[in-house]
Amino acid sequence: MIRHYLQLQLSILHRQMRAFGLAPVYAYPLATILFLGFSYLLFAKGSYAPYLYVGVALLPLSILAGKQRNDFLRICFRKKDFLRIRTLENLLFISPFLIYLLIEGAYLAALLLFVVGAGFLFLMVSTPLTRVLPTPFGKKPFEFPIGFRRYFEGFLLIYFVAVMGLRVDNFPLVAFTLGTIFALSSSFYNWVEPPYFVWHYHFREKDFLWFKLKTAVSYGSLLAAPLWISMLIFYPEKWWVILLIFLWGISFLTAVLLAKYSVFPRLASLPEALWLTVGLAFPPLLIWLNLYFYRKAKKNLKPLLT
Amino acid sequence: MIQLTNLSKSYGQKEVLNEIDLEFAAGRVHGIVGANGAGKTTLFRCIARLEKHLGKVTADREPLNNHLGFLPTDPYFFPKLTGREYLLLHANARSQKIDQLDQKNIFELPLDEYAVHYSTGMQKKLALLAILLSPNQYYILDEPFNGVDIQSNLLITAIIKQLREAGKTILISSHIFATLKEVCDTIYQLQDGKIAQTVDATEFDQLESEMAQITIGNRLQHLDLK
Repeated sequence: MIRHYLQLQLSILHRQMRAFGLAPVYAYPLATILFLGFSYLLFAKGSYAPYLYVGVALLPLSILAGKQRNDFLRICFRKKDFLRIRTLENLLFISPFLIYLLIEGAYLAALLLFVVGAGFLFLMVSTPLTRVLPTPFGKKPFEFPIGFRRYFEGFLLIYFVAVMGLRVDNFPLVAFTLGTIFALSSSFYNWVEPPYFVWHYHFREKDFLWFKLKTAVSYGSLLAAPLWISMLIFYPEKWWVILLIFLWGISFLTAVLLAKYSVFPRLASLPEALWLTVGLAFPPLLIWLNLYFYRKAKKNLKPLLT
Repeated sequence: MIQLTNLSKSYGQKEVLNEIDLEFAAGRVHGIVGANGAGKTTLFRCIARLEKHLGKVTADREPLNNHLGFLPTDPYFFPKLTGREYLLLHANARSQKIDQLDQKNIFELPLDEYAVHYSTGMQKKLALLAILLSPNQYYILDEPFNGVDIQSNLLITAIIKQLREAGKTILISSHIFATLKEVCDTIYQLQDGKIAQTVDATEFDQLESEMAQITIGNRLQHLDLK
C-alpha cells in the first residue's frame, strides 16, 4: 500500500519534470549538481550557513505538512500507515540536507534539522489567514493583487534590506533590491490561468497583450516605486544607473509576461526559461526577446480571441 | 440564435460528439440532459469556442464569444482574489464599468472576502453574477443550480425567466430535472455523442419517467442495501 503510494508520487514527479521539458534521466543529475553547487556556495559564504540551510530544508516539509493534504492522507490510510508515509516523506526530503550537514561537520544543525523534521510529523500547517490584504492593484486584477498578497513577506523583506542598504550607504545592495523587486514581480506570471480567463476578454489578441503589458508596466513601476524614488533622492548623481536597472527590470517583466502567452495555455518550460535566463544575463537581448515573444504570443492567442 | 452544423468532437480515438445539428432559437431556454460523461460540457465548450471541433457553430451576432456569458460547471477561482476583484476582472475583460456594485450584489455575497474561500454555492453565484453584469445575447449555464441554497435557486430561476423574456438565447444543463422542467422550453437528451431526443414542454414528464426507467431499472438489486 505504502509502496504503491510512493510509486504514484514518483510518477507525478516524473510527469512534472517532463511537463517542464526535462526528462527524469537529465533532471536528477541536474538537480544533484544544483543542490551541491548551492550547498557549496552557501557554506563557503558565511558562518550562519548551517542554520540558513536548516531553514531552506524545512520549507518543503512545511508544504508536506499542509492541512488539506494531511486530511486527505488520514482519510485514505490507517493511522499506522499514515505515520509511516509521513515519516518516509520527511526523511526523503531532509536526508540530502542532513548528509551534507554531517559532511560539513555541522552536527548541531544536523541534530536540529532531524528534531524539527520529526516534529513536522505531528504538525499540520493550516491554510493561511483568510483576512484580506488590501493592495493598490485591485482595479486591474488578477496578477498583481494575487502576487503581492502571495509574496507579501518577501516584499517586506526586500524593502527592509533596501532601507538597511540606504542606512549604510551601500548603493550596490539597494540596486540589487530594485532588481529583486522586478524578479519577484515577474514570478506573478509563472503560472497559467485556465483558458476561460483569456477567452472572456472582449479584445483582439493585440489589444489583450497591450492591456496586459500596460498593467504589468504600471503596477511593476508602482511596486518598485519606494525603491527607485528613494534611490533617486539618495543617489541623484547615479540617475542613469537607476534608470538602466529600472528599464532592465521592466523589460524582463514584460518578456516573462509575453513568454507566458507565447505558449499559453501550456506552462512556459525549458526553452523559454533558457531564453529568459540569457536575457537576464545579457540585458540588450531583452529587446529582441520582447519582440520575439510578442509576435509568438499574438499568433498563439488568435484562436482564443477571435 | 445559435446554429450547430455537423458538430463533432473527439479526444484521440474517443468520439464525444458526433455530427450534431441543432438550432437554438432566441427568446427560449434550451435544456441539455444526459448522463455524466455524455458530452454536455464538451458541447458547451465547443459552442463557446473553447475547444477545437469539426463542423460549424454560427450565431446571428458574431463573433459569438463577445456576446456570450458562459458559466462553467466548475468555475475557477484565483487564490487571494476577492469577490469584488473577481467581478472587476470580468468587467475589465468586457470593457465594462460597474457602478453601484454593492446594489447589484443580488446574492448578498461577501465581496470583500477571498472568493476561493466561498462555499461551492457562493462561488457558483459569484461566477453567475460576473456574467450577468455584462450585456450578453447568449448564455450558457452549465449546472447553474449546483450547490446553491433554495433561496438562490428561486432567484436563479427568476433570472433565467427574465433573460428569456428579454429575448436572449439560453442553454442550460442540470442534473436536477425539476428545475429544468420549470425553466426550459425544449430539452435535448444527449446520449453517446448524439441528440437522442428533442422534447417540448408537454412531454417533459414522459422524458423524466423514461430516463428514470433507463437509469435505475433493476440496478439496485445488485447492491445489498438491506
